[in-house]
This record gives sequence, structure tokens and C-alpha cells, in this order.
Amino acid sequence: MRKILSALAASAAVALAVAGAIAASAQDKQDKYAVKVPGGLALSDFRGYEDWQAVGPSETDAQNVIRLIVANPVMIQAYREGVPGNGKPFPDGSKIAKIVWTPKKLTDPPFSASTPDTVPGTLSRLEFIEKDSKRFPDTHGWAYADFDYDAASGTLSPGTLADTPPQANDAKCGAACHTLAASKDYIFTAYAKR
Amino acid sequence: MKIFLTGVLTIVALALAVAGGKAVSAQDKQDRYALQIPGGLSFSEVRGYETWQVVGPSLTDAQNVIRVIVANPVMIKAYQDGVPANGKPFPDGSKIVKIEWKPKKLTDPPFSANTPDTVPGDLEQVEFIVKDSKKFPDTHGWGYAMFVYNTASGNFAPADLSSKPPVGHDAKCGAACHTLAAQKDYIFTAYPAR
Repeated sequence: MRKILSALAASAAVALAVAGAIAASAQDKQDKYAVKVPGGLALSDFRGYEDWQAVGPSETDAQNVIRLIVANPVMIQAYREGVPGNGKPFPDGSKIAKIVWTPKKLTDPPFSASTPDTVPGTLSRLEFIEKDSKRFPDTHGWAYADFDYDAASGTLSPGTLADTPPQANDAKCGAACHTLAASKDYIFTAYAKR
Repeated sequence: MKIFLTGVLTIVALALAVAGGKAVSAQDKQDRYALQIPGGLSFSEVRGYETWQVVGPSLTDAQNVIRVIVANPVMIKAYQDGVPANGKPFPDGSKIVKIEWKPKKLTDPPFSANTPDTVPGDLEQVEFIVKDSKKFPDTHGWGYAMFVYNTASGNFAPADLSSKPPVGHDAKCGAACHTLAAQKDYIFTAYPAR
């Protein structure tokens, strides 16, 4: 009887281990919206960014990335009304996300090695900025967060001091750099006409 | 009296010319959705594309353009369900739009001449593809159209045989090229993880 019980327990353990491995190997098993920068912003502050409208694309040589910059409805509306060119700041509640990929060069016809099409390859990271003047008075109302994507595990984790830009345990990682865009309410990306 | 009348007419003509000049210089005075490729598709087929979700960005060396590819909710849903990799075709009602800009190189800090940020400059053209198996049986269900933007006038015009690709008086301008993507239901653009 004891032998049967331990055999049963052993098979149950194997079954559970297999189930666990299957769960872990599936992409996006992680609840990414539970990920948070220690002392900073949670990814859930930007829930639904996958569906937001585009501000514009960019390709940044220094970091060798291709990006899509999207914004939430509040911020898209502000852009369409002429912010920041009209001298007004983005309103509280504005949220903008940079989706960053490693570039992939398509060289199959109709493209070629000398005239490739550069498109998103592996997801590399997500960068976010949101405006809340009361919460973030030290950084002109804006708060920043970066998350790194690991393609092998399909999981996101908060950026660290080793990243570019370095991210400490706060919501200020982009503030120093974005002062260069002070005349545009600290946002580099322009809304491209379409 | 004749001289007086001529003077008045000249003033009226000048006033009209000035008013006309103002009207023409204002952006978006044109109703783009009234445009149509002769014998082909109307721009209104993709009404509201300015607010559609993004499939992905791209940078195409041969044409020297930076693009955002957006799709209507029917097609975005299909992409998210795994089309075309799951072997299923895009459903009728799918619509996809390429918004193309001349690339602009930003070299001000934090960028530089060696490591620019490449972003949209002037809008160049809007290309679209729509699926309707009954209307377009000869081209695998897809109909193609293209409209060229003129920055100086702020107006779109239907592309013609001198455009790239050449657009005849039909809805087939992209069909020959897109046969290269036959195994992806004739659509080159993939939906990248975000």
C-alpha cells in the first residue's frame, strides 16, 4: 500500500513538473503588467499601450534600433491640437510609449542586400513617459520608466543602472536627457502628418 | 468711365487672387476622401486610417522612405489571431495602409551627424490595399491604390503611370509585386511583438 502511494506521489510530481515546464516555455506567460520599477512606475500605468495610435516611427543609429512611438488618446488629442508647437504643454494624463526593436534587414525580392527593407526584428525594450504634475513636480510633471525584453524567456524586466539610459530605483531615468527638449515640453517626438 | 471700371476689375481680380492664394496655402483644405484612382479605388475606402493601429514601422532604402503601416480593426484582429503564419488568409474587409515620409535626420543632441535619429520628414504618399474576394477575384481578393502628397499645396493626387509602383486606371498597381509574398496571403508586412 505504501509502495502504491509513493508511486502515485512520484507520478503526480512528474506530471506537475511537466505541466510547469510547458507553462514556463510558452511566450507571454508572464503577466507583464505586474512588472514594476522598484521605487518607480509599474508597467500597468501603461496598460493597453499595444493598441495606442502612432505618433511616428524612428530609426536611431546610436542604439541601432527601430522604434514605434505610440501615445494614449489624451496625448494623441493634444498632438492633433498642435501641442507643443502651439506653446501649450501636454495635459496631465498624457502617456507615451516607445516600442524598441532590434532592426531586421529584409533582403529577399523586391528588396536586396544593397537596398534592404529595415523592419522590426526582436523586441528589445519598452520605454514609457507619463505626465502627472502633482506626482512628479521635480521632473516638470513627467515620469519615466524602461523595461527590457528577453526574447528567450519572453519576459520583461525593469531596466537597471547598467542600461542606457541608466535606471535607478525611481521614475527619473529619462529626465536628464529630456531637458534637451525643454522647449517641446520635454518630449522629443513630433507628430508626423498623415 | 472705362478706366474706372478697369481699375475696379483689377482690384477685384487681385482680391480674388489673394483670397485664392490663402485658401490654397491652408493645409488640408482638400477633401482627400473625394479623390479616386480613375477606374480604381477611392481614397474613401480607407476613411479614418489616421486613427488605425500600427502593424509596424519600416525604412526602405530603395525608395528612401520611412513608413508606418497601419491596418483597420478587422485586419489587426486577424494579425493578432496569427494570420498569415497560421495558414489562414486575411478575411474580406481587411484594409492596410502604408504612410510614407521622406526620412529626416535629426542631428541635434542627444543625436549627432554620425549617429542621427531618422524620423518622418515631409509626407510623400499613402498606399493602401483592401480585401474583397468578390470585387478583386483576379488579384487574389486584394485591390491596390496609391495617392501622392504634395507638401507645397497640401493636396493629395491619385498616383499615375509615372509613380513607383506605376498606377494604371485600375486597382492592380501592387498585384504583380505582391505575388512575391503569395505564401503570406500577398502581404509583406509582419506584425511584430510589442
